[in-house]
Amino acid sequence: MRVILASDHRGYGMKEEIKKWLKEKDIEFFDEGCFSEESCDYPDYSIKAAEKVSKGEFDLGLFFCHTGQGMVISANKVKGVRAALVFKSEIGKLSKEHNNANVLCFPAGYIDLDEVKSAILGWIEAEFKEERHKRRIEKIKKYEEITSNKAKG
Amino acid sequence: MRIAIGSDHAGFDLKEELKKFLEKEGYEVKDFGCYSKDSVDYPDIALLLCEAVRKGECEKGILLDGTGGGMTMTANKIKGIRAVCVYNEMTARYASEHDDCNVLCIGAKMVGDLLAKEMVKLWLTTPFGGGRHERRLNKVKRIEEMY
Repeated sequence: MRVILASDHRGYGMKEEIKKWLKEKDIEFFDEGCFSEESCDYPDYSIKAAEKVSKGEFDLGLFFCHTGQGMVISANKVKGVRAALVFKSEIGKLSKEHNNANVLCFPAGYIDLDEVKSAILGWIEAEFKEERHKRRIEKIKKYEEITSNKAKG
Repeated sequence: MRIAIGSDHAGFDLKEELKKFLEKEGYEVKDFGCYSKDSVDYPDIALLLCEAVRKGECEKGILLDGTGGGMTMTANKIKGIRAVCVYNEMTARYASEHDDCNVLCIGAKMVGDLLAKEMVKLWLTTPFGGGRHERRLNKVKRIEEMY
């Protein structure tokens, strides 16, 4: 499994902690930035990382900002990305089972590190298999196809 | 202000509660379904409601499902929609202040009715902060133009 991480300045500290943990767990990852606590804009990092998830270069995106919301809004604008706000540990599992989320966005200011780790493990262990949930995801994909500027050329 | 409201089967009860609450507070409410607890697909409701918000037929929208995840994901696929999944008072305030949220999403299984009403009230009454938040949202608009 390959993981990509992204954050803004308010999520930077948590991203660095999760990197250490991923290393301990022997999970391969790539850090898209940001690389300090200096103020920056979340879309600059979310779009780059989300596009790599969308292209299949990574299986999971872990995004961090203050409330997690900016990351959720911007990542979901990218075709093929299904980003969920994970505000407590059980959402990790549910976001995979129900929505086949490929990006998890964390509110670094309001969730503790253990909950984040437990949510990530929940996502890894969960399966997306139920037909009704698959049917719903197909409807989102269809909308993306119909409305895509890229498809229109 | 005209507010659009919609849910899947898991959010149906909360939708009915919030409808009554909003009408009592003096808002005009347009219901996009679902209309019973029979199983439906959340994207059908989310896409209908968000198109109405995008076109300006309703100024803001509220979407309710079990966890808030599916509605938030689908709503943000629509150009011009800034959907935020809220779960406490602070996230509801920041939804307006930071993200100029025009579609509020709530997981009906994650919060109680009273908290949901309080969050809706805070979201509707908190102004957008502008400034650096606006610069970031303009960058989101540029992402939308790419897709």
